[in-house]
Amino acid sequence: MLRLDSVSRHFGDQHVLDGISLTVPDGQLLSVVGPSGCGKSTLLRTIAGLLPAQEGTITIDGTPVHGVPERLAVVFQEYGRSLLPWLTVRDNVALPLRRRGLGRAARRAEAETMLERVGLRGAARRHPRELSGGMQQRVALARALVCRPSLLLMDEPFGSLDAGTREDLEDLLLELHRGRDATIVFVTHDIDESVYVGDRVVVLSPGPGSRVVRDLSVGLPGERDQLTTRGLPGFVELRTEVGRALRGR
Amino acid sequence: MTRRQDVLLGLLGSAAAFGVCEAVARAGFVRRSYLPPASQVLARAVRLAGDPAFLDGIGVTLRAWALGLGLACAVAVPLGLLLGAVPVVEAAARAVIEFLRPLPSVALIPLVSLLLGSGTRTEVTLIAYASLWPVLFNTVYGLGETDPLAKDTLRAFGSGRLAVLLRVELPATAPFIAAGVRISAAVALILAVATEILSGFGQGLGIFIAQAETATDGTRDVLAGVVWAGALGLVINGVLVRAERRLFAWALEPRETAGRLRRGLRW
Repeated sequence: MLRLDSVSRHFGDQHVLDGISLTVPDGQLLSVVGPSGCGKSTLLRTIAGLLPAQEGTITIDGTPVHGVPERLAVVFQEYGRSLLPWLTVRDNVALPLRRRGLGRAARRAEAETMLERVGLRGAARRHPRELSGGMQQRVALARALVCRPSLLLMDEPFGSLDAGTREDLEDLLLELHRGRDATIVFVTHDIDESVYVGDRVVVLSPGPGSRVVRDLSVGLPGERDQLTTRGLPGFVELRTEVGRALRGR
Repeated sequence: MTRRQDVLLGLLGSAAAFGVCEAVARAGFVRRSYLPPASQVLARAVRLAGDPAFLDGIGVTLRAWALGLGLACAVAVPLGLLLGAVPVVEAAARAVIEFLRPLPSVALIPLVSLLLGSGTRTEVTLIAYASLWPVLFNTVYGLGETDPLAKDTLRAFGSGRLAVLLRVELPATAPFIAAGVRISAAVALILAVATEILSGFGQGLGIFIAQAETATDGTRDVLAGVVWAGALGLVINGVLVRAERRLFAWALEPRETAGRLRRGLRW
């Protein structure tokens, strides 16, 4: 269980996060929505231990976390910058396995299995730049999941992909998440996406000094489908509610 | 521009330069013994390729060049990583580096000769000193250019500071380092020949040039030696450019961060 207790952060005298408290049960996919510039990324980086929390505490399963949590994985929006261009796709995916102390061959084998699961079986020996944006983000997803993280943080992961690719990757994420106990914090500025992928949606207020203004449970069936789910009355209601919260109404 | 056009224009430029040199010499503005025609210089340079003593000299010069350059890299890359990775060290070293850097290496030749004698040790030391800087500065600069997101990604996957340095920052900096080595390779060649000319005895391309100077009608030999020095520089540069293109193909793609690098690698 991930727990944030009045986490605040400022850069100089600019308040970015103002007392964020959240409890995320194991296995939940939490969408975090907020207007751009509200500090969503800062929140994610703080949870990841890449930025120190200045006030408040972050605990995982009751233990306070300082620095980068164990069994953490991240996916950033800018796949082109977070994949290492000098490594093959397979070696990029194998990278996080180093900390598990596996040998090179074992790492590569696991990476290839994971690549198969994200539909990139044939791309193992290619380099990231040879792939399309959607494929590169699949690689990033495979890299994040290969070490079976207990906490996965995603910062607008599909934000720079075209609509079709984006939907494919949303479904891939849901499929890979099914039956796993990883907790996922999924930051997005897209209302529909937040509801479609999320078990729960948290809306942040616009900055400076972002706070949680709405906390909604997504009561949609677990099996989701791009066409039918988005047409459900429950979906439409939720997205209206999230939209309203975003506009401060 | 295609590669073929590139080569063609290069040849055209070389032919034009050759033609001008030839014409100036033949027009008789200066005495023939001061400035022999380009064709004679070139013919002499080609004949030198069959002279075992001369080739031995080239070997000596290249050995000193390689030793000096290798030594410079062995010092500059770790030092650059240290300076680039630890801001405190960089701040402390900045004044010393900025003082040492503008000192013309050629001016140090007499001093170092005095300290180390006029043998290979002096030559290698001076080459290493002069070619240290481009590699050092490119290493520090390249480290600063490493994408913070790539570093964050690795940190989030549990890598420590050292692992991030070795697995992200060093590979990302490698193309910059290589460009620095290529610049240093030319500097090293200049220092190798210059040190030999000024120290004046032993063996090497610079020695050949220095001794030709004192001979009657030696200008042709001096210039032939210079042609060899230039040709060596050309070949070394060509080999290094090719190696960079091969090794760092991933950095040559037109990505937003690679634009500057690509121009850097080209020339």
